[in-house]
Amino acid sequence: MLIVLSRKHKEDLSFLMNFADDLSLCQEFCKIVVLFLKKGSTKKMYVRIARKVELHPEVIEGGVQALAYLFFEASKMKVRGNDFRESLLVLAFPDDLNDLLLHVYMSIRRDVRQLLSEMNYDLPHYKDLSWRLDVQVASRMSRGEANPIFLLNIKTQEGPNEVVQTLQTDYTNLKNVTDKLQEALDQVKQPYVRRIARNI
Amino acid sequence: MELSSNLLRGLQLLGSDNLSDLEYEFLVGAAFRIVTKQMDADRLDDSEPLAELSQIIVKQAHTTILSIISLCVRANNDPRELENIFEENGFSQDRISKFVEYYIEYLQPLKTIISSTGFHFPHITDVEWRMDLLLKSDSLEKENTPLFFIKFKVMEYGIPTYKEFTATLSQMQDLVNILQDATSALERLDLFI
Repeated sequence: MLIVLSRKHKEDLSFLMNFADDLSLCQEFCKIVVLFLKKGSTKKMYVRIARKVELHPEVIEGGVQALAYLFFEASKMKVRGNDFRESLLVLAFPDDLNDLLLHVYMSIRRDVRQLLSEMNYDLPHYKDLSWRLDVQVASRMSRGEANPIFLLNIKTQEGPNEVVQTLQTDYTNLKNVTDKLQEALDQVKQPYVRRIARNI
Repeated sequence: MELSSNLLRGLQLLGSDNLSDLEYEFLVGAAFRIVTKQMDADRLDDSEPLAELSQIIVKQAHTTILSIISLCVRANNDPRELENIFEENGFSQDRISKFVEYYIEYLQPLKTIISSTGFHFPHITDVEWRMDLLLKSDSLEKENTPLFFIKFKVMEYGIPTYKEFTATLSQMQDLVNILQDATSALERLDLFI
């Protein structure tokens, strides 16, 4: 599927034509974009490259943001390499610039998707489970018994907080829980589920 | 078995003629039923067979019986030891056998109650799961990954609560592997469960 660029976006990206001849400059530009995606604003770098190409830093900043937005949208929609390249044709860039942009896109696509998935609202999800097997031999109310007890430390991520809860269970319940969860996991291999996942 | 002086005095009362055999039997039966929650403790105050006895005597007898029950079940005594206690305190054979009869009948429920008394962490009893296929969200399209919702039912002193969380496919595999590891740990030990 192709990305449709709005007129404003095309205008912002067209400034890249200024560097179309010098590929090394374009590469440096893409490096700034990647840094911007990973760390946010990089004002110093804008000033440095603006001085180099004799353009205003704000122009550079606008260009970087436009390019970053392009990569973001493409990653979000998981656009394939060919489609991405075709979408760039409308900007009338030279071929080697298109290749460079494609190369950068393919290399950062996975990281950007990872970043986007963290931005979404997050349900409490599983992080880790540690367990321990104890045998209770006595307590105030009972003597001379051997009761195996499993202690489970479940770590879940709930929004920004990591919640740790200590729970216990006995062998029967643990076996029941394990079997049920294994059953859940086996559902993924069911033909019905496979069919749906394939067709979507 | 070492018994406190209070308890010894109570036993003397229980075995004495201050209580008729009928009243003794009723008190013993009532005590067992109260402990296993089959009878309300308040009903002891105005029950007919005990109408002749003073409140103080009823109370003392009741607490003595409860103490003996609790001591013996806790220490896992078999009926022989119970008989010894009564014999040492001069109980008639009839009263001893009546008590032992109730003891044997109620031993299992008593053990269950006693083993669940005490403190422990919230106890997992069940699990519910649901599998979804995540298609897209406002920040990410074409996800197409399975998402599991897991809900543990956790009993905390008789009150059920729930622990709910989600897991992706790899997290789920992780979780199931760890749990299987834990169950096999006990199986490997070959303990009597």
